[in-house]
Amino acid sequence: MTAFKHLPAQIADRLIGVRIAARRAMAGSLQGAHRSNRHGASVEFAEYRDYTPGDAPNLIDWSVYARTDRYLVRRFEEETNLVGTVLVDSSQSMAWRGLGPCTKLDYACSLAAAAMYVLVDQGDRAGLATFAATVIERHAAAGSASSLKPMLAALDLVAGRGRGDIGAALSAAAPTLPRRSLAIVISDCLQPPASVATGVRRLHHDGHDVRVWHVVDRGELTLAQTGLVEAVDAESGERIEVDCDELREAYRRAAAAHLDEIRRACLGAGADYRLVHTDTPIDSALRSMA
Amino acid sequence: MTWLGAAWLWCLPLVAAPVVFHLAFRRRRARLDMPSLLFFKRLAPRLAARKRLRDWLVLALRCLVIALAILALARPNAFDFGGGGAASLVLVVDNSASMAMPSVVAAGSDDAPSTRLALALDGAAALVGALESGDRAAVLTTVADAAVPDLGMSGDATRLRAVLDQVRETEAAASPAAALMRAAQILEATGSARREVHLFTDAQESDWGVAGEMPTLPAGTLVVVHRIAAGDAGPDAALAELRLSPHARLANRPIPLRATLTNPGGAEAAVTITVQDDGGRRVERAATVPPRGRVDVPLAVPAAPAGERWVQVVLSGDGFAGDDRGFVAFTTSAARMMVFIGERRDHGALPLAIAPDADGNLSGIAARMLPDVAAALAAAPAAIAIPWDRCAGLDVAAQAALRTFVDGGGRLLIAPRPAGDDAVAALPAWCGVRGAEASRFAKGESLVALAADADCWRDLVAGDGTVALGRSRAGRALALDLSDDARGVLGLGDGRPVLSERALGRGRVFVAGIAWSPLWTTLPLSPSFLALAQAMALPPAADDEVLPLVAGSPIVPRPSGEVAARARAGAVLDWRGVDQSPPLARAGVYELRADEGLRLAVVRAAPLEGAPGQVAGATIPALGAGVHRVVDHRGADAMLADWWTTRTGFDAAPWLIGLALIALALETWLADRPLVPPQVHKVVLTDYGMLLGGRAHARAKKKADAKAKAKAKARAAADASAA
Repeated sequence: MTAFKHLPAQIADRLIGVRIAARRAMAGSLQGAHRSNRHGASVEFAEYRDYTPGDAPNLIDWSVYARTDRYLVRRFEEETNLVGTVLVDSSQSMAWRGLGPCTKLDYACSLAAAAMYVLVDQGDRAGLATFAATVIERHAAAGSASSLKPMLAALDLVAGRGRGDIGAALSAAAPTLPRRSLAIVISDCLQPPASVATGVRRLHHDGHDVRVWHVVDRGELTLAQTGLVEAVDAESGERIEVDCDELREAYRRAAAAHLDEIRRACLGAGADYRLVHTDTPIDSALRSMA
Repeated sequence: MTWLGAAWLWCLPLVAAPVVFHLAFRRRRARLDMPSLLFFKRLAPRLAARKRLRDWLVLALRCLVIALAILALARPNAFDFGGGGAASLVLVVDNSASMAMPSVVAAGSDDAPSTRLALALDGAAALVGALESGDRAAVLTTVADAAVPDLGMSGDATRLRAVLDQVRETEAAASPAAALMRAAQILEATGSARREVHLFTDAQESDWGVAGEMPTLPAGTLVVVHRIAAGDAGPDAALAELRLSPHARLANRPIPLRATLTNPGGAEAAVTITVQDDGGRRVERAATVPPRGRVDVPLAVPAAPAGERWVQVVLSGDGFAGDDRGFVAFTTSAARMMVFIGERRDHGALPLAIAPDADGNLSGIAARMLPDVAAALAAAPAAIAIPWDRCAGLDVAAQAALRTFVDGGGRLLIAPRPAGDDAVAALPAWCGVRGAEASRFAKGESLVALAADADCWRDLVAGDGTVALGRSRAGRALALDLSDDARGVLGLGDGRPVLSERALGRGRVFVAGIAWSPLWTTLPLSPSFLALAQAMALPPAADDEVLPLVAGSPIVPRPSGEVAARARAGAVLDWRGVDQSPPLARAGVYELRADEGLRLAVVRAAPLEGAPGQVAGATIPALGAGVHRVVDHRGADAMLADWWTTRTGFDAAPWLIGLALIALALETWLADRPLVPPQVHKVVLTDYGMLLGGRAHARAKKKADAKAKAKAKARAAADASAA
């Protein structure tokens, strides 16, 4: 593969063996490794049902007939491929870098590239969307390495700008996602927890398997500065005068409380929530979250 | 409030030093870019505001500490609450006319009712008697009185009492500003920290109720107004004005005099007006003045020989005598002479109107018939009457002599002979008549006054400015053609003038187009003719260079040079000064000598001094915005008891130092006190606990994995059993 900024070859090599499994039944179009919402011919037993005329006689479980004197037909789960869409938060706050080796947006893009690569590599299809206050850019799902390249190239060009609104953006993205697909939301979640929950709940309601990967820079969880500073909001430009020495501990607690609330909101909305720091290697992060 | 260390007050701008330092050297705030202020807002939205508020509070406290320290160093002493040290007192006694009225002291006092001035002097004397060693006092009056010496500051109680003994009621209105200006001068010269001005007055509304400008007294001077309760003096009439008639004041003739009386009270005042001249001649007349009204009363100065004269007018019978006196001064002259050139019949009724008795005993003008101009001028008359045709026929020398006579102040009357024809001869040009046109009127033509302000109408002009000429008509007349420098004073109904007046030098020329005879006009039959004829013959009474003044008022413009004032009538006065008005505090006639020359001043009493009304409340408007304390005077003993409470001082410096220390302690406590961070809800650490520590995360992770394994195992078992 051509070298991409967010998916260098060494990272791609380390992703071999990493699998992303769906937690919910997917509605894929091809035979795959994921549980489908339809019944099929896999080895995975699903259920019994009464025989009805027209069913193939070889489907009748004769051993059960012998014990119960009932004609029951055995049904097996369908296994299908999945369509995964990675939604990357590209708001201005993501372009911030604190103690991590890169900005949150760079890390999120790397994470998204890796996730898409893993999905394609395991035979599934992967799509991409970026959002801030709404969906900014969307790429249709691709199932091959060659068709993945445009999305990787697009990730290289993503820049953080604008104010974020996860709730509105995810609600706007939901109708555009394939039915019963995997939705991976990568964001710093610097929004009110209720807003995050609103977006996640909408995706979950549409039958998607929602994963929230919360990207955090350790520098935003503590106040390293001392004395009186003028804190400036990266998105709104709002300024506030604070004394770091007096607020350091309270700030740390507030940050922790926010993370806890985001986690609760995501789990409560039916999503899988993972916190990842920007100083965590991509492959390690992906292995822990997959 | 007195500042014993007032120089420290110049340091008060240092109060702003903390603010200046704060603004000039405040810490530059570092900029901290954050992805979001969400966490700060979770803490306390107004945390920064609270910090800013605290900073400003600390700053304000620092300013307060400096201010209090400076004020303490300035050593403020409040003497109205008590003050120590030697005192400098200025005792100002109101000696205006109203102070002669009785007073009603407060109930419960042992003092017997007395005049207001007596109570004031008792109070002032009590303060003089209470002076201690080192204390000094000065005695001033609200009306400058030559009888009261100005000692300045003195610690000699005997001399001060002697000054107080000289204080008498005047007939003038109080002038608080002048007295306080002098008090300010005296107090400025003293080095005492404790300065007081005690003002003993009845606070009469007319004097003290009018807002005025108070002179700037030395800082910390305590002004105490001892208000003496006023008593009722009964109905009062005041002499508001005296006006002599503008008629020529002739010797041995009564001189008309009008007096205006006012009554400021609410009850009718019946008074007797006494006119007494310098020769002891008296005339009395009764008058009644309605409440809050005024009346004009015609009077007559008794006849007396020629010379300088003065007259005193006194009201009696009312409740207050302080506003009842007035004086007038004037000069009377002997009877003047008017010469009629020609025969008596040539002048019609004019000689009779000018001098009914020929000797001038009735009109003050003697009439004399002389044949020609030379004889007339030789007689040195005041006026000359000459027939028209004789005047026109004079030779040049005689005309020039007549003109010289007029230029010198004489009066020339020219009129046609009653028996003359309609021929019109030309008069000398300086007479102001270019020609005339004879006219006859079968039914008579009415005569009208053309110029009401003309000198010849001065005795006929009514109050509304019209001339009371009466209904006079002319059967024949010479309508005059006047030159530009003459004006018509009497005319026909159609406006054509028949009597002209021209001012020439100091005299006047009157040219009549009618003969003063019933053959020509009915005017000589009218009573107004007498006044017209005499007014043409003699000028009005000369201004006698007499200054009419109200007692206590200064002379404007102020006399210059060596000024000497001596009483000619009324109160005794012999005063000398330089470049200032003499203290004419009482009614009288005074000789004033200054660089401007010798003048007479006639002074009458201030007319409003009998007016009822006393300023109530805690402030005296006449003292302006100056801080003063008004105390109702309840007698000398009560006043002294109150005054003694001020002998011990209240030094505010220790209190200010205490306040400064409290402010300093508060500032220290506030500056060192950290802002209490707001409470954040308790954080539950679970699998993201890796953020805050690895152990909690590891435990939670291990627990979750074990749970998942158990669940998977149970599921596998169930599947196996089902299979």
